[in-house]
Amino acid sequence: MSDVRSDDGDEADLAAEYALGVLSGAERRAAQRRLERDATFAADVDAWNERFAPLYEAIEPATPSSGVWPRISDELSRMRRLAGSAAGATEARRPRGRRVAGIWQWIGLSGMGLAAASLAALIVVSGNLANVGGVGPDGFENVLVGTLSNDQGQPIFTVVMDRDHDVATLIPVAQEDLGNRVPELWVVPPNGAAPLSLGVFNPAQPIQLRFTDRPVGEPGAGLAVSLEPQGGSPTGQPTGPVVAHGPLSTL
Amino acid sequence: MQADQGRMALVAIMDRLAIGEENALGDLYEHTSAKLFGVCFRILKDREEAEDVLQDVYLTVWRRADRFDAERASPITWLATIARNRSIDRLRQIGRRGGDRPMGEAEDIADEGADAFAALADSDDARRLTECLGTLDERTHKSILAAFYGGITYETLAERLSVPLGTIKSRIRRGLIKLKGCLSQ
Repeated sequence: MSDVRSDDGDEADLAAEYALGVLSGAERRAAQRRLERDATFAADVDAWNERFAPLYEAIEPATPSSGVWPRISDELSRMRRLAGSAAGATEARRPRGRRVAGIWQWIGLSGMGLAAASLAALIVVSGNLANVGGVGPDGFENVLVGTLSNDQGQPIFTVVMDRDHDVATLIPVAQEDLGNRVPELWVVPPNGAAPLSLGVFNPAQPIQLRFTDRPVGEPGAGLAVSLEPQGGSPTGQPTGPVVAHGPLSTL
Repeated sequence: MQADQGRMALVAIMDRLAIGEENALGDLYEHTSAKLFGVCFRILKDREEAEDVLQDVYLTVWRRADRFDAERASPITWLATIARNRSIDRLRQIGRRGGDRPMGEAEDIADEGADAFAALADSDDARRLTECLGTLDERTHKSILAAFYGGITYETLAERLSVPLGTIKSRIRRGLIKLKGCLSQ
């Protein structure tokens, strides 16, 4: 049984509902996207956060285990390296003084279709993304996919990017001999600016990477994998050969 | 007085973060991790998940520090809000994977909220909020607190409180409007 009358009869304050945290997954993500582009809405949410703020006083502090800070610190160091390359990208965009190596520019600008074989793999692994039930028409707006192929056109990796959660899932489709080097994943912005690293990974298994900079995962951007020394590129820019590349597009 | 000093210290750390000073994140962690972990744990009720989210929270803070505006928000509220929102996002993800919540969660969620309410510290803002929550009928202010401390959806709230969905939505929506009116007086 449901109390339809009162449900329909009440005016909802979306900012308040978001701040309180009662929205379901899809509604919540829609509100989060609106936060990014609607300053009035964002200010309303801020105001509600301040209203609720005293409630935090009643939450008991608790000590996290000692392993948490080192993990944050390691990740921060990695992000610092990227910040260097991101700054380079900005520089390249503005005075257009800095040129990016040809291969990287080409990856960013070229378009390639999805290979059917790797699409199948993608659907299996992203089952939890597909299982969002009751999602509105914009449910997949923030999911980007891409297939990375080698120069012979053979698919090597499939990538699913969930921009709602800043997570990229990378699924190996075929094995490449890497020698003693490690693969590093890069996003190449569509304007041909410098590639941004999404981190090194183990090519033998599906892996989730957190992205470090939201705007880089956009439709039309390119993805590429280069081979780098253990621990990743020492310069913050790709130094080794490109073994796979492909464009990102919406699902 | 002490609270003001704490706030100033945090604002100073946030300023250092905003210009990209790496050591500032360690200082921030030292000053705030227990509070923020408390928030994550409160919502997620699972140490491992809460620690995972906590890591994410500090990296998010690192990236967004330049958006913090000391004129508009208190630093600890800004941080706690990020911690709570990230925890709620994780909670929704866990829900989507179909994982059942831990058994321990069958406890009476309304009372959990009420206990927290009773434990509210007595800053001026807290007293004011307590007063305004007190103008709502008891079921409504308990429902709002249960939602805040549980980080749960209308649907889950309705289930846990054994109340129809329409009723809980209506109750909370009206309560929020009334609360806003009371706090703006």
